[in-house]
Amino acid sequence: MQATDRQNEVQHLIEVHGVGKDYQMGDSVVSAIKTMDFFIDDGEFITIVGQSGSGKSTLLSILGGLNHPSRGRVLVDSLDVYGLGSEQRADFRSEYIGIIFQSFQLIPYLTVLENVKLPMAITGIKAGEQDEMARAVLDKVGLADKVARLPDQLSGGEQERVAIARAIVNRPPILLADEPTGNLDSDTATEVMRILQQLNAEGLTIIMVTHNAESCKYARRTIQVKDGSCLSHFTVDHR
Amino acid sequence: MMNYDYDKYRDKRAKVLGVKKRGLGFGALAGLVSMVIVLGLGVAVIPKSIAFFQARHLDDAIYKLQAKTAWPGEVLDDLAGQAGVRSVTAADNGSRIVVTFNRSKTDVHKFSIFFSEHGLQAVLLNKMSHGQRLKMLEKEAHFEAL
Amino acid sequence: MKLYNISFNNLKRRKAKIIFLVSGLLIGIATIVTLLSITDSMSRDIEERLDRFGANIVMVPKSENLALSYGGITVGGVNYAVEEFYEKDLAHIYQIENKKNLGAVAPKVLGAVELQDRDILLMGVDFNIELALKNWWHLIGAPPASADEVIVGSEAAATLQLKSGDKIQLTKDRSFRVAAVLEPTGATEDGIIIGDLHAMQAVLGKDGRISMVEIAAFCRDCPISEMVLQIAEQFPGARVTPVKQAVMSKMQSIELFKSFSYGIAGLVIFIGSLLVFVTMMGAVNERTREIGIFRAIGFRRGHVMQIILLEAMAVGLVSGLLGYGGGNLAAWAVMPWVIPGSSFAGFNLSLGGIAVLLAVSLSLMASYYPARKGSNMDPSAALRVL
Repeated sequence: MQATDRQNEVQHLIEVHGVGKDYQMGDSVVSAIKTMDFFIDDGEFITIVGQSGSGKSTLLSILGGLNHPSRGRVLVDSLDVYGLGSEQRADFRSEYIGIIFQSFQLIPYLTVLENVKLPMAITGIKAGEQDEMARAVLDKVGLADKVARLPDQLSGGEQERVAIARAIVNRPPILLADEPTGNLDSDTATEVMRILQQLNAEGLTIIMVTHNAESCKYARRTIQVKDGSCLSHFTVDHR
Repeated sequence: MMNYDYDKYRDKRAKVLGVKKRGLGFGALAGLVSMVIVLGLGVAVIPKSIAFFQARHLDDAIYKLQAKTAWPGEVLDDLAGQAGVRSVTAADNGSRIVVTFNRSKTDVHKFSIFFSEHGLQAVLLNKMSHGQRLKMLEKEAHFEAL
Repeated sequence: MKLYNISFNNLKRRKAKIIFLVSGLLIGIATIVTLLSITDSMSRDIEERLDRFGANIVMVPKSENLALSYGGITVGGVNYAVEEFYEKDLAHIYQIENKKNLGAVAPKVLGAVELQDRDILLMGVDFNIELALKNWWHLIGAPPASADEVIVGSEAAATLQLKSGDKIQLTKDRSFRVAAVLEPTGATEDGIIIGDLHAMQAVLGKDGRISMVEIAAFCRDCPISEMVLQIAEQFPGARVTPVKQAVMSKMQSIELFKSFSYGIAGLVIFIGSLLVFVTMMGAVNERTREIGIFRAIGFRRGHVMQIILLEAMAVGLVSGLLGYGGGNLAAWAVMPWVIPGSSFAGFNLSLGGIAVLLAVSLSLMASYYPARKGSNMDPSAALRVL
């Protein structure tokens, strides 16, 4: 299916229409996501909450252009994500999406600075500019003094901050975060959430998956997921 | 809630949609070039080695008739049919013949006997390895061409 | 940060695996370099000897040979019916079609005499032609100025305790003065006495007879083979051989060794390449998560392939260079054992270039499928979903 420019039809930065995801388990088909319809506007901070196995991580991977849905459409900035070719979708991820993986997923043999520069390795940005940009985001997350360390020399919270820095270094419009505070103690988790909130205040659209209801207070809106379906959307009042 | 601004990320959208496959990728190019190099080296080496092994047992004996007359055709045909003889070619306007033979199956003594039986006084001018003779002729021809 | 930074950083951290990978290809490359270096040295050794010979063609009397064989194995032969040439017939050499290519025609008479209770070989030559032909001869003394002067080979001089100025009695009524002693040449001249052609013919009782003729052409790659046949036609009773032919039979052994070398090296290289393939497949499987991260953050398939193939290129380059160095070292060490008296001819840079090119190409080819497999991994499956 060709990617189409739907300028007149699209009204939101991200639109999810009738998206579902099925997996083959032996002879039977299991639906990780039955059907979902929602939208996300530019600059929003959204949390997706639900029990373990409710389909929220699958949903996040679909939004990130990483997991082809079995049905439905995902439109991001008018682009039909799964109507793009494979190489176009890789470029889509590079241009539009910053990802914070569960368990950080840092490259163990690259230093903090090199990990943050990783998304820029394919952009053609000159070495000097890469360095400048990477140091700037590390300064923002409070790790300017740890650029030469390897990931296994950092604490959990520090690794999470490196993951955030890597995700935003290319200035993507959308940040996807999968359980960013899942492995952290409460103080560190608070610190991380403060950073995300600050980034959102600067205009970054953030979609965060969490099973922790406490984290929802940082978001503008929460999408509740249960058994592969959107249970509800509700707007959270800022404190 | 912010309204969707279609033009805000126009450049990014253009970059994503503008991706076109431009000829061979690095991987395909690297694979192709390596294969060409390896095959090229193989082609340079293997046929030579095969040719060498095939010609290893062959010698060339060059004869001329003492009477300096031309060689009778039927004698040459007969000689070519002898066991171990690969070929009999005329050289130097027919005054000489080059007998290519398998040295493990026959030798110049048998040829001497053959010529005597046919009443021919043949003089052995030279005997050498077939492969080496071809190499020498090739080198000398190159020199003469210069 | 560029893709090659990722490749090299990965190589730096997996040192043990890389050493293992490099070793596999290195052994194959070193094998072929060693074997080809040895054959190269042997060929150059022969070429140098060939260059030293002033004569390109040797003419000796034809003889009949009775081959001695026992149980199908030839153990030698007995020469009989040897007839020497007449000196007056040598003028026929200048009647060949390619006479313009003739340089020196150096006749010799050979025979043995008894001197100081020893049998010594005498060789009679035309010194004007012979000394011009044998320009590698170095004399301790002056060249013979008359027919009564001789040159003594170094070994003969040592055996007979002769030096320049001494007199020797070759027949009852004829003595000769030693004009010079020949410095060692490593050839048969070292053990003989060399005198004027006609004087030696008289001493040996072979007046007007010639035992062999060395003929030099003006250039090495002239139509020597054709000249040989033309001379043979003039002298039906002679065996005329280009010196190159005799040397080339030795070259044939080297060619055989070379061909076997290719076969062995090909096998070793194949095993090395297989090792690279298997190791790279394992490495790609180990890096599933890492590749998933690359793909998830926007790396295209081509980028992932490039990372893996750059690693393969680096492995190939190192294998090629170390294999070339190691192979030459092995050849240098092994040569004196394999061919006593010979020496390593030195580094062949074109062989080095081919070795590196071959190693890099094989490494790339062996890594292509693993790289492709890695690049085709589904990112979400690779990360086991975000």
